[in-house]
Amino acid sequence: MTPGRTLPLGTIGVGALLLLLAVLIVLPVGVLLLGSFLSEAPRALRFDWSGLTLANYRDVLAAAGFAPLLASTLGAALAGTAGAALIGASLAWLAVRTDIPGRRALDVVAVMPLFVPPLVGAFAWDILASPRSGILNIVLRAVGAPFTLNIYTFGGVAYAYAIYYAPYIYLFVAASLRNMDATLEEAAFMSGAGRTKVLLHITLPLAAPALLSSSLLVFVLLIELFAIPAVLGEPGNLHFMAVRIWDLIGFTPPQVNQASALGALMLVMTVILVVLQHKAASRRNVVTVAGKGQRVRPVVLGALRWPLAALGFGYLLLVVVLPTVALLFIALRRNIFFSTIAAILDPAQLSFEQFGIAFGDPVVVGTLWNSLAVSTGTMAAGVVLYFIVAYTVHRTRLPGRRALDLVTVLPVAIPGIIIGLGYLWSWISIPVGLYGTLWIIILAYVSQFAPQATRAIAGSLVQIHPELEESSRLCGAGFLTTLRLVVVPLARPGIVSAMILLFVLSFRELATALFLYTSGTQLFSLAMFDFWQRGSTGLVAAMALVQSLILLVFVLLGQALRRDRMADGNPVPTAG
Amino acid sequence: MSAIKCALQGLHKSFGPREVVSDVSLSVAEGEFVVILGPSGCGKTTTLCMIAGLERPDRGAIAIDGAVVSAPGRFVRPEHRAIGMVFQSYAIWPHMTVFENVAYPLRVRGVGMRERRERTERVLDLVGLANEGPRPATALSGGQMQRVALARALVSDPALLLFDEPLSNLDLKLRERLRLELKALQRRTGLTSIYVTHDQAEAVELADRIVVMQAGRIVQSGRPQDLYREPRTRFVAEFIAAANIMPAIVLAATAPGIARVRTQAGFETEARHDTTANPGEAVDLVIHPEDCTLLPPGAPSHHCHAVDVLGSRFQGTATRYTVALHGAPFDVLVLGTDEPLVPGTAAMLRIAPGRARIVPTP
Repeated sequence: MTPGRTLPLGTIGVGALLLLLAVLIVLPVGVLLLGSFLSEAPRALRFDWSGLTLANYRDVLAAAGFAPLLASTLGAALAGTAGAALIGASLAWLAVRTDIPGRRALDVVAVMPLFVPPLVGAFAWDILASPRSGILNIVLRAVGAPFTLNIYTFGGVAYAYAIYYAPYIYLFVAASLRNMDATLEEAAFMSGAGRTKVLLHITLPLAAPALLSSSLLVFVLLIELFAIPAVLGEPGNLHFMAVRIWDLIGFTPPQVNQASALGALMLVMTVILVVLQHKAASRRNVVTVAGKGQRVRPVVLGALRWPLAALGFGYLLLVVVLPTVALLFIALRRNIFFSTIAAILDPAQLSFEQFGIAFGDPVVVGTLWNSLAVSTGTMAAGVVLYFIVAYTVHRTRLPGRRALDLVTVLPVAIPGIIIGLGYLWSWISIPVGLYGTLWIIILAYVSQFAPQATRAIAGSLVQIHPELEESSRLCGAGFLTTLRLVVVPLARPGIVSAMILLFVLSFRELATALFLYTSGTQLFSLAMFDFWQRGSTGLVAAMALVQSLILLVFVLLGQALRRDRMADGNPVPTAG
Repeated sequence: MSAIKCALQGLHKSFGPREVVSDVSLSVAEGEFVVILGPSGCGKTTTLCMIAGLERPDRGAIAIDGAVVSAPGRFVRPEHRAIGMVFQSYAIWPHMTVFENVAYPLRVRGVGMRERRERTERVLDLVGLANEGPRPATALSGGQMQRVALARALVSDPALLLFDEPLSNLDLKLRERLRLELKALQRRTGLTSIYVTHDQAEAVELADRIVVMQAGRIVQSGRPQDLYREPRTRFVAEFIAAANIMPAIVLAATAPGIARVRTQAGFETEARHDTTANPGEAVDLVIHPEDCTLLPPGAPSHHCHAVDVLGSRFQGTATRYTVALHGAPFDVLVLGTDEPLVPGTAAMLRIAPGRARIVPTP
């Protein structure tokens, strides 16, 4: 059925793609794993096989802090996942299945935190709820509250995890609830079950597969996360695995092999969880998929509507409004030291000075240009590569396409910090001059975001009926003409989504680039992290706002492009 | 017989271990309308896709207009085969207008703008969509999409027109109307056509020749009337029309091509056959309900058999009776709108002479 089959060079092409993806994704991880068994820095081209040792694992596991390190990493991730699941699933139910006021708006609100980079969220909560100078604590003290908030705690980190990762759960659960046959709930009502019983006995079990698989995904993401633990954990002397890996490399001399061993342990955990997640996701409940023409009758909440709506929109306040206000407040101040409400409200402090300092600094401006270049490069290279991959996997019967599919989902289980470390050690020794350029960062990002980009494009491709393509071939159009005139225009929403994702994810990424930049190739988020470590909170706030603004503009632009589907192709010839 | 427009020779195709097309050979004459008929999974669509070049045969050869387009070591890609095809899903591109969809084959072949417009408008006119060109393709009804698909298949003057169950997504009324239009259009253009369907009514009405496929093989091919009257297997008999099919035993050969048979229920008659029918052989007796009629009891005719009415179904222009023939149920189709005989009524069943036929038991 598939025209791609007739490509004479198809098989060779798949081989080349596999090789390319192996170099991009498998090689760095392999070098890192190897390095974890060596006593010196791993080299991609010349390995010292005689030096194989388990000493690194022994050192890592026997280190005094390992048990608390593991406990805080897994514990905070678990608590964060539980919180995110609670928030995400509740919001999904409220927005999709109830008559809550403003449910359409809630649907938008629930995914907004996706656009707040974790690093920016962490900065904002540092400003809001650090024990001594946090704005919220100053307010609490002023009103005589008997307690203060402390974000530098296990609870604080888990809280930040929960509110910023709830949208992932929301997306999965909301989709599952939308596809759910409403008559299943109605039948329970007719059997005499009340609202709560229906929710517990029918709705929740039916949404359970989606909830489980998205929770596992969030759990993996939180174990890997660097930005929030680095900003909110370290000041409270809480240590996390990703941050620890970074520390080990920062030692003099760098403990590369121990870092690799720790990375390998982290990889084992994430791989196991991702396999579990895959199993959970493939066990999707077929019963809930309803045919067409289903009526969705919302659950009537009655008097609870308004309080629940307040809770739902309160989430918006917590994750978007409050942090943005905090960042704006700090960024627009002359002096970032204040301890009373009067000082907070002092209008004399209002100024654009911080923006001036930040963007008057050629180093900062340089990192901005670097980041834009890297994100643009990642977007361009990634969209072409993953379009070819998605097309091969979903539209041809070429041998090797399953392997291609598998390789592109691998990075889901590879923490960014490990990709970064793997790239460092594979390319520092291969004499192609990649290390020290922006290209190595672009390649690392292209590998890291393979799953997201491929999935976005594949989502659009599989919706195109194969006959739309076959009919073009029979009309006399060759393979490439068909691709250009039929497939690409029809897959445009997915292609644009992939471009937005590649740009946004790479623009905000921090952990992957930690080991890959040199003095000339520093990136914007790295500079932000750097300034924060040096205590330049005002600059960081100004930069965080600019970063968020750039991301927002890009996302809106992309969405406008996605919607405009008819603009492609020739001008319409009018008959007569 | 006029020139051969499309020839298939010994086509084989397997998907994994399953052979879906086995040794299919077929010649289609210029201007002929051939319908490939069979149940789903019989390999008819795969055969069509091999003609189109969307599938590569494992073995065998295909020639169009005398030129070999598919053979071991040779494969002409679909875009170079000069074939027009109408797909089951219509495959109308949603990002183009009606005009752009129809003009596409000319556009990709580099036909100049003026000629492109002229030819596109001509063919849009032909299918009755003269003023619909500027409309977005997504704004069309199912029937209109069907016409756009047909126009697009016709616009480049293909050597061969292929149809893959093009009417199966439409409602009954529309299907019947488009069937008529399609046949008229094919007559007018004289285009050689191969049409795949599982709907025997469609096949009988459209085809100059029907090719019946079963389990990847061609089991019989011929004019619709021939298939109807002379089914060679029980499968063809069942598929072409809802016939009475009764297991029977050959008693004796009475004349060349004619044998006396007895059904399991004990009903005896003479029936035609193509191949040998040896006494004692188990066969299936095929009698069409519309070749029979019911007469009042006592009607004198040596083609009559006494029966009892078991039940009846009124079908608008005819009544389908089920009667007990030697105790076994037997369907009779009586034309007209007379008040039906009540169950239990005795009647005489008359079977038109020479219409009973035997086929080998499968």
